[in-house]
Amino acid sequence: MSVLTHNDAGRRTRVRLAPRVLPLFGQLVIRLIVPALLVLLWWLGSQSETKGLFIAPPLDVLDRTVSDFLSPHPGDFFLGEVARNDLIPSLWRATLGFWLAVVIGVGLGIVLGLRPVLAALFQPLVHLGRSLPTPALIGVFFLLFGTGDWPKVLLIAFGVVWPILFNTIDGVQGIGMARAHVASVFKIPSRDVLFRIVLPGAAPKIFAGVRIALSLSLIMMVISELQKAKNGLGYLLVYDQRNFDYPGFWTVLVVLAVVGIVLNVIMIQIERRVLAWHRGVTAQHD
Amino acid sequence: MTEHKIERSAPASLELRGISKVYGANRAIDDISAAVPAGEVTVIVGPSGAGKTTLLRIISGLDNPTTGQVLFDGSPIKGVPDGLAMVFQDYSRSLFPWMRVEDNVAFPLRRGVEKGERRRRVLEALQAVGLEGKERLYPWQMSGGMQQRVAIARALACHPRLLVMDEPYASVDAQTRAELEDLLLEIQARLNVTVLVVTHDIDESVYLADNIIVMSKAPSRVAEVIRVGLARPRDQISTKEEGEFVQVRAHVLRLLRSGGEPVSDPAPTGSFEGETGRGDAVEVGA
Repeated sequence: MSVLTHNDAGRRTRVRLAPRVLPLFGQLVIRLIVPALLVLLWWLGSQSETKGLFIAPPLDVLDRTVSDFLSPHPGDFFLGEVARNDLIPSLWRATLGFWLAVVIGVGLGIVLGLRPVLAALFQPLVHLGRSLPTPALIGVFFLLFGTGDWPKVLLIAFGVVWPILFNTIDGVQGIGMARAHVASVFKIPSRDVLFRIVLPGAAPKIFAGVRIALSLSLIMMVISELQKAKNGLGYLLVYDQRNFDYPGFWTVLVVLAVVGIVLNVIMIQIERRVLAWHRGVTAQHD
Repeated sequence: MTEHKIERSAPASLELRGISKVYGANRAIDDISAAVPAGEVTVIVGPSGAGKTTLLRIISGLDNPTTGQVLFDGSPIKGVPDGLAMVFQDYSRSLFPWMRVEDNVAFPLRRGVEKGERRRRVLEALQAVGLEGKERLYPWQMSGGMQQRVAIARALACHPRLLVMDEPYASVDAQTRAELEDLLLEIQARLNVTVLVVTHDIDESVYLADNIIVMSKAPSRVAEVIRVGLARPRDQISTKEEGEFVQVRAHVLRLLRSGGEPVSDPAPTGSFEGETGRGDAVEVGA
C-alpha cells in the first residue's frame, strides 16, 4: 500500500528497484495489490443499493463460476455443464477461425511479400478488407453461410486475418536484398529459401501480427455469438442479461478474462522459444 | 600447424571481355576488359560510385552485362558459375541470425552434400578460419570480426575455385581488418584458390594483391592494371615499409584522385622519404 501513496518520483525509483530488492514473495504481493483493489471496488459496487441489483458480489460469481464451469466427474474431463455447452464450442470456433487466419494470412502474406506486382495489384482490396469494421459484416456472413458454426468461424477468420497478412508482407519485404543475394550466389533451393530464410526472417513481424490476431479473435468470437447463436459465451452473455441472471452474466466475463490471460501466456511462451534468436539480436543492439 | 584436408581442386581463371552496363540513360560501366589469373589475388579498386558493386554482380552471374562477356575458366557464364563462392560486405545481413554458426556454414551444402560430409566440411572450414569450437554459437553472440570469419568459412566450405569478396572488411575495426587480411592471404596460399576482392581501401588493395585493377570514375573503364611484385608471405609491418608498397600505393592514389586519367609519378628517389612518412601516418591513424 505504501508504494501507491508515494509521490511520483519516489514511486518510480521504488518500482525500478523492486526486482532486485524485493524477494519473490514481495513481488507477488505487489502485483496482487491492484487486482485486489479492483475486486474490492467490485464488491463495493455490488453493495450499492441501486447498482448492486446488476452487479453480483465477487464471491457469488466465484461460486457460480465453479459450479457452472467445473465438475467433479472425470468422465466430463472435470468440465461443468456450461463449460461443455458454451465454453468449448466458443473456443473451438475461435481456434478454428484463428488458425484459418494464420494459414491464410501467412501464406498469402508470403506470396504478396515476394511478388511486389501482386502486392500492388491486391493492395486496394487488402486495404478495403482491413478498413471495414468486421462486426458490420456479420449480417453478410449469416446470409452467405447460413446460421451454423461456419459463418461464425469465417467471421472470426476474416476479422483477425488482416494484422497477420500485413505483418507478414512487411516482414517478408524487410528480409532484404543482401539475403536474397546470398541465396542466389549459393544456389539455395527454393524450398530452403522459403522455409529457412523467408519464414524465419519474417517470423518476428509475423508473431507481432499473430499476437494482435489472438486477442482480436476473442473479441470476434463474442461478437459472432451475439446473434443467431444457440450456444457460446457471447450467446450466454445476451441470454443471462435477458433473463436478469446477473451472477451468470458476471461469471461469463470472468471466464472470458481467464481465457484471454491463458491464451496470452501460451502465446508468450511459444514466442520466447521460436524467437529466442531475435531477442538475442535486439538485446545486442540495445 | 594442424592438417587441413580441404580438397585442392584447380583454381579458376576469370576473364572480362568488353563489359558494359547501362541502366536507362545511365551508363554505369563503359567498357571493362581485364583478366583475373588463376591462383592469384586480384583486387579491384575504384572511386566510390565507380560501379564496383555492379561489376561484381555481373562477374558473379547475378546480373547480365549490357554488352560483353564474362569467361569463367574460358567459357561464358550463365548464372552463378559452379565453383564461385562469395563473401559479402555486411556480415550482419549476409549471415542468418536464426541459425547457429554450424548451420550458417552448412547452409549452402544442404543441396548435394550428404550429412556426414557436410559436417566434416563445416568443421574443416571453421578450423581454417580459426573458429573451432564456436559451431554452436549464434552469429550475434560473436564479435564483428568473428562473424566475418564465419562468412569466410561458409564460402570455403563450398570448396570454391574462385572466391569473390565484396568489400569484405569494410565493417570491422582496423586491427581486425589486418588480422582478416592475413587470414585471407594464408588461406589463399594454402588452398590455392583464385581470389577477387573489391575494396575502396588502397592500403588493403596493395597489401593483398598480385594484380590491382584500378577503375576510373563512372562510367567506368579500366584505368590501369598494376602488377604487384611484393614477396609473399607478406607482413603487415615490413611489407608496408617496402619501397614498392609505398610507390604502388601512391600511384593508385594518384589514379583515383585523377578519376582514372593517366598520371605520371614523380621520380621515386625524390618522393620516397615523404611517401614513406605519409604511409606510416596512415597506418598509425587507420
